Amino acid sequence: MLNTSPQLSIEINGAPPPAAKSLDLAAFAPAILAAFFVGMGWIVVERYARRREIRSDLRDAADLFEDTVDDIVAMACKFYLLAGADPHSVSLATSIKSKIQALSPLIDVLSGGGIRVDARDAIRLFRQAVTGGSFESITRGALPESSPMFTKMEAAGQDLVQIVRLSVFQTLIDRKASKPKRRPLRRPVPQKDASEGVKPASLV
Amino acid sequence: MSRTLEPTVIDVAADFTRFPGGRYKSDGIFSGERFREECLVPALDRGAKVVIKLDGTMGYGSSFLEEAFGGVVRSGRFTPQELQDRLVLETSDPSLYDEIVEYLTSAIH
Repeated sequence: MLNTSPQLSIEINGAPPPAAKSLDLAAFAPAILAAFFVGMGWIVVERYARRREIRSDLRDAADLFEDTVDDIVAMACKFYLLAGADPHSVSLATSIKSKIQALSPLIDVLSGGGIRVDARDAIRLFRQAVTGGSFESITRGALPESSPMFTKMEAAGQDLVQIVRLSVFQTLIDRKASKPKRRPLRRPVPQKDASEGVKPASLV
Repeated sequence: MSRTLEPTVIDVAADFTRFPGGRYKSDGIFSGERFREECLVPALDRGAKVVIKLDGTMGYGSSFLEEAFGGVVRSGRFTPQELQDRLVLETSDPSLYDEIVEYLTSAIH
């Protein structure tokens, strides 16, 4: 079937289409430039938003870790204020052990987010402080509030939280520091004898 | 010709309990003392390596671990070196591994 549209007839005759005749790129330049800047701005904003979101998630994970440690210490305080034969102490003991067991997976979550945390020693010491000695012994008597056991558990918990908090901050600072820097305008000229006579720090 | 013995596998959650707790038998039916006497020592007596799977429980108390593993060292039936060579600990919690190794090696230092 023959196409008899007017446009086709123009092309066949070798004449430019009427629209192409009036196309002026210069007229579109401001619009193209504006679209470019909008696109770039969107990329920058999106990148910063994503970075903020990751930072916020990592802080949330660190908060969750701290809350878990605080819960454990609070439960352990209740536990040791009760006698070992008290029925409530049995359920508290199970909760304490279960929550302590959740600490390592929480560290794994932080590690998955790029936080370099080495808390295995601190978790071990915390578990020993809370569940060592006469933990779950039926013959254990209730401890007085002045017992040094409470201070010991609190201190071990704080140590653990500090390690995690510091690791989070350290990683975030390292990430900021490792951002690609602008190239210097002029390459620094190496000093000829600047390194002579200087030994590496490990050999000094 | 000597034949290598198959390792004995102890899955604590499946073969003992999901709720290990207490140091002595008087503290509960799933105590460290009972685990040592009924699971760990008989497995070590077989002479092969002993693989202990620690995952799957509701958590361990240090009192349980100390009595179970430190108790084997204190019994004097196995040297700490022998225990280190023959025990294989499987756990996803590195702090748990460290703690058990500490109880096993404490007799050396």
